[in-house]
Amino acid sequence: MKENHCDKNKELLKVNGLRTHFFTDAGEIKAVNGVSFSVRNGETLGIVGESGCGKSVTVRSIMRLVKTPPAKIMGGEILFENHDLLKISEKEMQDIRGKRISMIFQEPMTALNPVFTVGYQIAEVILRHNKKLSRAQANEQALEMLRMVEIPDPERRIHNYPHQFSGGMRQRVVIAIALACSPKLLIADEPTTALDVTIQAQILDLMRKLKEEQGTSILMITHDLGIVAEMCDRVAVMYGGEIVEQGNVKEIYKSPLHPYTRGLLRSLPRIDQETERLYTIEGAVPNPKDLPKGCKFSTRCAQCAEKCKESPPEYKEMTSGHFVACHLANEVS
Amino acid sequence: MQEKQAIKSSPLLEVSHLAVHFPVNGKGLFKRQVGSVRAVEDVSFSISHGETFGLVGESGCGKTTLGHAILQLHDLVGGKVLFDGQDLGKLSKKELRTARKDIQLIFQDPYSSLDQRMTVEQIVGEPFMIHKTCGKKERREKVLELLDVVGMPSYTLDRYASEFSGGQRQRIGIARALALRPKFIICDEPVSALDVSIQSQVLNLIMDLQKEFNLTYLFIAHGLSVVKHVSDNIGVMYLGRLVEISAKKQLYANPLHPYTEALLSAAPIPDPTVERSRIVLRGDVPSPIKMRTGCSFKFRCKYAEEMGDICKEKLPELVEIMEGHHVACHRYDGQAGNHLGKV
Repeated sequence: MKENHCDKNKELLKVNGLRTHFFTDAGEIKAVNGVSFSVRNGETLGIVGESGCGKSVTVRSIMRLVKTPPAKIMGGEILFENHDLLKISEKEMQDIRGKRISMIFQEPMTALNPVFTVGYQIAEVILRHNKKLSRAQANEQALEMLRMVEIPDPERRIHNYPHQFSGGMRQRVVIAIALACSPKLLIADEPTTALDVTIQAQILDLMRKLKEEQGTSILMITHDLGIVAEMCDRVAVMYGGEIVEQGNVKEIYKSPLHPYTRGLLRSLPRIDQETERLYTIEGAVPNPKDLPKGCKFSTRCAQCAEKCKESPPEYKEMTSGHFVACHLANEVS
Repeated sequence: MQEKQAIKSSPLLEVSHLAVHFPVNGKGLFKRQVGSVRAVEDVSFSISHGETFGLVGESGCGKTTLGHAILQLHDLVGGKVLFDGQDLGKLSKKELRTARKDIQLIFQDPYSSLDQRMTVEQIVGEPFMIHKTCGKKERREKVLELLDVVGMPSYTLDRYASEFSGGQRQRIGIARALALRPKFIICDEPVSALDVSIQSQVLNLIMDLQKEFNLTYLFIAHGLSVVKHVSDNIGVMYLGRLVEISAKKQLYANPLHPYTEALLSAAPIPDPTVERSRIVLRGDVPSPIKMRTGCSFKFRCKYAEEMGDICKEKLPELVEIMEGHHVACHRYDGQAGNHLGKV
């Protein structure tokens, strides 16, 4: 097996101009409209955005899990270890899913099958990608995985069904399944949104630890800017199916260039600060069927100028590695 | 001015030793009761006029049940609720209905709390119909006024709830809660289901309305940052019991209960430059069905070992350690009332 030995700057995943559209009775919805980003070896990239901004569809497109119809990947390329995932056959994709790229879903109950034991479900993934192993060997490995995700009393728990686990424990099982074949890339779609704060802290801790141990790259989808600050190296902010800003987490939190990023950061109530009155981004997310012609954020932007309404802004690099799509980025900063 | 101050500090709502249990029925033919879920146990607190009391805790800790119990929507096992000097538990059905005019609820989920088949006018106007306070024409005017207050345009009057986004629905829900000009509103996680950019709009609205209508809030949430922003006093709940009550500033600067400490340190801070050590709690919240002795937090508490047997054997009582700062933890045994001597 050829391994790219953790070259930190090497791009593991490179998404170029990805476009995923939905064809519905009500018309064409451009859920993902020209999205480009990359995940390097061993890094954690966060994608943040509000509901309906296209973040989940983006990662589902990478996994080729969008249902066709109604969705269709209209264009772009998804380069993973130098292969375009959009050009390979479904059978080849099945060999990649769960082995090279795996995914953790938001809702741990629906991600697990209620009629099989958790041990069986972990072993299933191991057997699928390792045909030479016997069931007993796979079970042995499954037990090892449960130990790794720190489930207490794994020898007994391996024979339990998902409903016998609490939410946090189920999410640990989902992580065990995802990491069973030591993937290079782990996609986590809101992995802690359904969990309580103290359980969220446990799961985030576990993910950080496993990432360090296994050198897995993580693509993390979330709406929580606090989680991004704690978990991610770089972040991409999505709005209306596009990435509006991307760059190093520290830099973006310190000097956000896009008014949407700035607004999001300022509108959060903070546990470590006093705020008299919260900043608000006026209005609501535009209807995806009827997005504004120019900048997608123009309808809610406090600084909106004439040109913002007319033409979409160019997505450009302002400083090294810090990208932004805003007509006013120069003037404001 | 002095007089106003005095009114402000007298409690509008006083809850004492409130307990709500839910029966757990067995599987047999007669489905006999085999146990009970102690959803709320021995909860006491009070809320003054014009103040916001924040209630935090994780799912299943009983915070919503507590809110509903105040409204007498559950049968109480023990304790009483004094609202404006009135014992709500002693009222007849009819009297309770009248009393509830003054106590309203804002729900968490703006999708399931509004009837899809009703127009905005019907939803917001329904309280007037139930309490027969005004005629049809006047009702329409009042609804328009309410919509204006919550920032909804008047043309939405004849639209159906399903046509609106989450944030707008929550505004409709707030308008309905305001309809009868209540004194007290229970906000049950009003922004948890909303997106970040909408969340701040609704939070600002809730706080503006408090000033405008001199409202008193019980604000239930699981997010400590949201509670911090809106509340004056905060109660932390764990497994049906209040483990700490304090003024906001005190609580965040000096959390006394180990659970509060852990909750605070678990909340992610949206600032990558902040470095802090995090207390990660072991395990999950235990089941509230089983009867336990001792402190309910003992299995997850980092101090339980060094404290020895007392945590396993004796239930800690909620006592005032510093002025206005109550905590239920054996680590502070013997410190009760200390503050009284200090001054």
